[in-house]
Amino acid sequence: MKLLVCVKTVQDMDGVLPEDWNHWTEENNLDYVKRIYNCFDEAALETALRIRDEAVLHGREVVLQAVTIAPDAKLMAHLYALGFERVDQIPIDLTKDHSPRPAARLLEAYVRANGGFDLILCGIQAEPGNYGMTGILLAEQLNIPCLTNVTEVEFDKELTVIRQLGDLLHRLQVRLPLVLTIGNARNSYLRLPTLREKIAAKSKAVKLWNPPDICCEPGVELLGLNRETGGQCCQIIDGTSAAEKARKVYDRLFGEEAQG
Amino acid sequence: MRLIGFGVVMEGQEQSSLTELAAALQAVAGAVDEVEIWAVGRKELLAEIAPSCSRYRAFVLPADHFWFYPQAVKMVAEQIKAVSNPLVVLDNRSVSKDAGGRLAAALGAECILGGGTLMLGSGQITITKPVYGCNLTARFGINQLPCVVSCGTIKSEEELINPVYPVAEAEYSDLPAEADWMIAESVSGSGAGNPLADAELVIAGGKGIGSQEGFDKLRQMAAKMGGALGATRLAALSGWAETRQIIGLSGIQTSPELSLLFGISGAAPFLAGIGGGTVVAINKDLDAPVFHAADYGVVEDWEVFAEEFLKIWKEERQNGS
Repeated sequence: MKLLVCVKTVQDMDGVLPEDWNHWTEENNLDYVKRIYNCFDEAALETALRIRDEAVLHGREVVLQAVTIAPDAKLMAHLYALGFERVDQIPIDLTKDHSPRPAARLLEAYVRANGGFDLILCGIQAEPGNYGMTGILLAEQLNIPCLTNVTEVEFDKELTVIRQLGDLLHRLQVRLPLVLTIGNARNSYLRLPTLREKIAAKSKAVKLWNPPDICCEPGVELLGLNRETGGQCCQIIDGTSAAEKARKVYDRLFGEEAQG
Repeated sequence: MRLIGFGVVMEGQEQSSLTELAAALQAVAGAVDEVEIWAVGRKELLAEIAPSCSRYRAFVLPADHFWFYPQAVKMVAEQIKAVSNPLVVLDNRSVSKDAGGRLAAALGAECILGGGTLMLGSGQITITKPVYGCNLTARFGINQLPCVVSCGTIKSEEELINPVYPVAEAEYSDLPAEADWMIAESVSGSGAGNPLADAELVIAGGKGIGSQEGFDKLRQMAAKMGGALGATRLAALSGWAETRQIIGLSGIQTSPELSLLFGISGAAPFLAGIGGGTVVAINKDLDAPVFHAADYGVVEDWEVFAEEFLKIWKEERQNGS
């Protein structure tokens, strides 16, 4: 089985200085912020490794491949140490692109150029827009089914996919090919390679894949970005003990003053 | 322009959400030509919806199907293509976002999911959406129809004279069965809906709770106070809470009257899920961003504070206040 994981690396939003959010302009440069795997894509990578592990137990082979659309793919190199056969980079910067369409078109071209895949995993959504559309669009363009909000995948003789749909767990036994978008997965953190695995994969580098020109006319237009603050003014409750603070909070919430 | 309120009605999902969507669209009906409601689900659930609109189209799933399948999406998309200038509007439940995204892809239409306010009027249609980890708000102009959006609020720029629609009769259409890529399926779960969705009191914990035992204490506190337990994504992925209890960008949107937030740093994607009401944050770190979003802040060990607060709450209830 050929399995592709589409990975996006994003800036760690927790690392952005508050002043940059408060005085946001189009020229703001967030290059100082460290890049991390988009959390749902990290879960997709770990899901792929678990599918491979289960396949091995059942005497089946899974070839793992990963691709990212980014000007820099340094973070991806260690995927070789985890057992990915090939890791590719499409060297285009879509960081400030507020549409999922170009990414879906580029990935479609990549999938077709690679002769297709049995299973394609993507994170359900990613910064900066969290549109939740790339996997769905990719599946539509490839004319294969897409299952969203996937939390778990089991691989025995067939593939079993578990999705969260609101309050319900939806369990499907499916045939391939398929696109899965990984949501709040049970195993969301990517395992670390051992030192031995790292040394064995040391000479392998992320390969550049140059895409054809993609043209996507946007049907929506970004009119502006601004910081919306709640205008909340937090009142810190003082006290000499937790009991005193708890009493003060209770009185403010339920006491006569609050009722009045 | 024709406004189509769209929803998928499943077991365990609130049919009332579609009636609410219909009411929200009715309130801006003067800004558009027609307001229609289209829904997908089982016939008995679809029959319970009574939307006030110009047309109610009910798409019935085959008996052994649980979900809005690709074949069904294609059929509904074909029907939407026959409508002149449609703007398809859904709410922000995860089921709706799933349906909206796949509908837009099948239509080849633009799509904004997880939107804030959809603004209609004589000028450009716009929609806001939190971006950059909910630290910024983007405003998009919709230049082309059809378009699919999911949003929290629908407004008009102008004062409107709205037509008053009667309750529409359902026009039923059967959806096709799914193709053979699916071998078998089943659904499980309480089916009772997520208690966080309409809880008046939310008690939520974050990574600062530190353990499963800590979360059990919060769970007990929520049960005693009649509230619903929520969690940050990090806490849920640590196995301390269920993923359905995640609040925020990757979970559920809440709108309680009171939120008690314990051991939560206050990352913007979490806070985006706390809508309105009074917010009390309890954290040992005075610099935690959660205090910027709270009405009351307590710099204290969460566990000690929770015990004291619950003790007072019980005493006051016993005293009848």
